[in-house]
Amino acid sequence: MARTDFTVVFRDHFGYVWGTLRRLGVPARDLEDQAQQVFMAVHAHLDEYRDEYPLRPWLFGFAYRSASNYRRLARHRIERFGVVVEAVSGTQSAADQLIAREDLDTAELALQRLDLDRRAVLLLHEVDGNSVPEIARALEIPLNTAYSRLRLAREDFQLAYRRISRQRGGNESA
Amino acid sequence: MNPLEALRNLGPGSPPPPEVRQRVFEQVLSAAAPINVDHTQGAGPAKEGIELLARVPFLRSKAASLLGAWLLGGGMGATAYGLLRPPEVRVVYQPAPMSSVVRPATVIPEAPPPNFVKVRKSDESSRAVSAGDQRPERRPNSEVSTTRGVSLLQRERALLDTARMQAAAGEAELVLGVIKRHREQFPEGRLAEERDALEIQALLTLRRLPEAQELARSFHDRYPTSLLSGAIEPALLP
Repeated sequence: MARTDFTVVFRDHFGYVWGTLRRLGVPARDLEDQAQQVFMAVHAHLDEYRDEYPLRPWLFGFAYRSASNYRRLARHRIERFGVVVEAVSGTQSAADQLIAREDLDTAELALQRLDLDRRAVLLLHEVDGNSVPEIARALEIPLNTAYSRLRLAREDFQLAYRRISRQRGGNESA
Repeated sequence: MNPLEALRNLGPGSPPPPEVRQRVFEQVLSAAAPINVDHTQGAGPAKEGIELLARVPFLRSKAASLLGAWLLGGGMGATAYGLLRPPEVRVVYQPAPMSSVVRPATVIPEAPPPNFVKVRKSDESSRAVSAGDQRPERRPNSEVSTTRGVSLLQRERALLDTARMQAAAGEAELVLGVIKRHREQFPEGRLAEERDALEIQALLTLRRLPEAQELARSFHDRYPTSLLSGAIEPALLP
């Protein structure tokens, strides 16, 4: 992909990077700065991108490293996440929508309780639908490590989800 | 809803505000502009060379990293060894020159052979100051000298060993002949004490008692604390 395509990349994937940074634990007040850093890095390395691989896992790698560096700073270790839930179907009844919204809210909270490394693998696989080899390439980790992290991330996520559900007094269905 | 199912239904999340999107885009482009200049003008052939090397699969592998670390470690180890190892000491053989057939000396000949000296390797180049040159200056003295590396003391001892063997064989006359030779060659020899004792023993063997007694008394006066006194004691008995 030529360097001139940066505008296209930015236009089509800024929202994705923005949401990824938020789910990787960057609070709303710093999202803009972190997104800018991610796209500056993307701009500098766009020549290295190879067309045969999907673009989003490659962009996720930049967002992951940016979020990881962000969290290393002591002043950023205390997280406060505003859960933003959407994607509730308009065909559901009000009660169903309420239940679904609560489930999604719980999922967001459970996600925030995961370790960053495992959270990244889980997001790439379960939310973005990438294969494990693609995840390993995007995060620059060995394939076996990616599989191992995915298994542990699933376990951690389900455990956190059930705990939050119990605290809320809701009925979990897993 | 299943936890993982809920996770899959999260969706992309809330979109960023349009003004934020525009602002970030402008900031990235304005900040990246100098970077572009650096990439195209500053790097030159060096960057091309690095990129060329980076395309070699082996240089990008872990094996290359391990090999590099191994070579670096080996180099550092060799440097440390060269700096910290103790100085090497070698024993160097220096044949004695033929011209020193008779070499005056005042040192005790039983000292370590003079043609073996310890030389530090670093001093090898300056071996002009060799073992021979380091010896104390010798005064002319007939008592001790060397002949082809054999000291006079050794010649003395060889003569007396001959006499001792003849005495053991009962050849007392021959013993006296050898002793006479010794006395002529080494009138002030270092083994004169042993020579005189052997002479007394030989005279006793030949039953030449008056001579033996006279020599024994003289011996006793000259060497009152001699370890050989026991050997000549029979001559002093009445």
